[in-house]
Amino acid sequence: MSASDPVFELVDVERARARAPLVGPISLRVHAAELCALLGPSGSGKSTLLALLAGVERADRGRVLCCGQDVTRASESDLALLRRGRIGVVGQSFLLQEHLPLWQGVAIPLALLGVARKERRARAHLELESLGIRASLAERLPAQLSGGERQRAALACALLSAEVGLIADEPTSNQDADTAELVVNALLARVARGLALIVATHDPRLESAANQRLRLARPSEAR
Amino acid sequence: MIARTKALAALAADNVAAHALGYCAACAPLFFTLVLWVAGAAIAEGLRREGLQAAERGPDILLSARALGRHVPIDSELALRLRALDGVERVERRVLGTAQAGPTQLLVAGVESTRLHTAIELEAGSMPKSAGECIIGAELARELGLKAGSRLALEAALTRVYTVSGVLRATDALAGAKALIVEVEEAQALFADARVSELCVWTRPGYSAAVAAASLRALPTGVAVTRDETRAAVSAAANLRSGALSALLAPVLALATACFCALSWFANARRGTEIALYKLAGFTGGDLLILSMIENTFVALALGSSAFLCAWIWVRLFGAPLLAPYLIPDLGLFPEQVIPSAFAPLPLGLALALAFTTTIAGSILATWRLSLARPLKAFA
Repeated sequence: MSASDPVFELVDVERARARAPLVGPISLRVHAAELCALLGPSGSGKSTLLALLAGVERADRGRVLCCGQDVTRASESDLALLRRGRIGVVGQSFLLQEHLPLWQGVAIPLALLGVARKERRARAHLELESLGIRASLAERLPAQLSGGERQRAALACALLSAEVGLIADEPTSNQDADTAELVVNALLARVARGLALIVATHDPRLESAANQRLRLARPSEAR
Repeated sequence: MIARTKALAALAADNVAAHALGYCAACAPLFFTLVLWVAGAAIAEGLRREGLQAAERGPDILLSARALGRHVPIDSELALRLRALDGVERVERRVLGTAQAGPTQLLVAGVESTRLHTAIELEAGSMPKSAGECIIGAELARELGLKAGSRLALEAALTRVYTVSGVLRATDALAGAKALIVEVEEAQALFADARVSELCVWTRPGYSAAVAAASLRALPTGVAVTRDETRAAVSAAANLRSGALSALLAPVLALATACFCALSWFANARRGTEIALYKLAGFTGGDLLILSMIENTFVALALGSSAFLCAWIWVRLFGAPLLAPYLIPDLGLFPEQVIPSAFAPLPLGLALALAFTTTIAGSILATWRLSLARPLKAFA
């Protein structure tokens, strides 16, 4: 994959057999240092499109490429290797490793890269602090955090493995105005440093900062 | 690669600590089975070593007599005739029989006065100084509530009253734990029989015990057992004991393994979201299997070593209550006698290997199944 190639690419993609069907065909290219905002009402298929890009779901038609690799044909192991250390993914329900202290769960992507425990801890703390989560909270179990804190922690985890691209589903949905701004600024700073970001959002700041905006419609509205 | 494996090992350790209760529940049946097996194997090995030591300290040839398939007494005169033989250094008479002390049946051993006063050490009291005195085993003393100075009525061919002059040490050989020991003549009087049960023969240096035994077997009804044959019999009995124990525990172990597999399956299903998050973070199926294998290695190490430790405490500190009577006849459920045991490295190694094999085998299918699934749960 060369520098000019898109990090994320959709070519005539359709996905009808999903909880929120994606009305297509949809084509899209997101390069490094670009922000693509997926807009539209709930149920319009924003999350489905992100799941296709993450390789969690498979398209019915068309091609989905991530870092130049066709994820529609890739095996589970190939997809895992594709995501490892390059593509961060954060879902809407901001799931965390509930059994581990927050920093340990957040730093899991680094364990796969062979980063030593001490460094993992330092980097996890740094990432969490950049999203407004204090060091004392980082030692707690996720169950002891508020919804907003959990969401930011899940985002921190995704950012730690997002060297090339980040797929984020409504990362500011549970934040108050101040923390939402903190999250938006952190994301934009990463985009400025070369990250390709594709985000489903209702946040006007992300929408206005986006290089591309893709507005999706519910199947009923599309007809 | 090494750094990654170390990081995965650290993560696995964190996972085991975080899921400690779940692992404890899954491993509980295996743990109890392993404790039973390790403790039983240690006792069997201890009995084998004690038997071999006794054979080492015992005579070169043990001579008894059989008629119509049963042990029969030997004429005491034979001891005098044997002593006169050229290659014989020493001959000791021994009387063995059972007698009743109230409802309790006990072993009575009549030994030569020299052996009684030189080869036996006591926990309490003194050696018999006069007729009508005896020494008793520690387990028998506990069972009948006897101590030095107590009086005891014994019923065999005759009824005689003995005074306990001393009690054997609880750490002594198990054979004497429930025995009453008197001099040969005293035992002969009790059983109203001037003959003896067996003769212990020591050969002079340079004389072959095997050749002497062959000559003694030529005697009418003579049964001569050499030290080597005793050793072989002790080992065979120990192997039989260990084998029987393993055969008894094999179905229990199979059940415990099945239990572990079932609990692992359900526990892994509960860990679906956790595994999906790993996959989203870049774990391949192979990584998940390695992580699971490292987790199970930690669990197996903890399981095997804790089972070994518990078995050691059970046998060495508490005397293997409830277990020892199944391996050693005539012991109470809570024996006071020190149970012979040997915790050799082999049972520890086997316990660890068994724990490792079972935990790996029990969890691999569940992990593999989850590793193939798409991480949908993580992207809900």
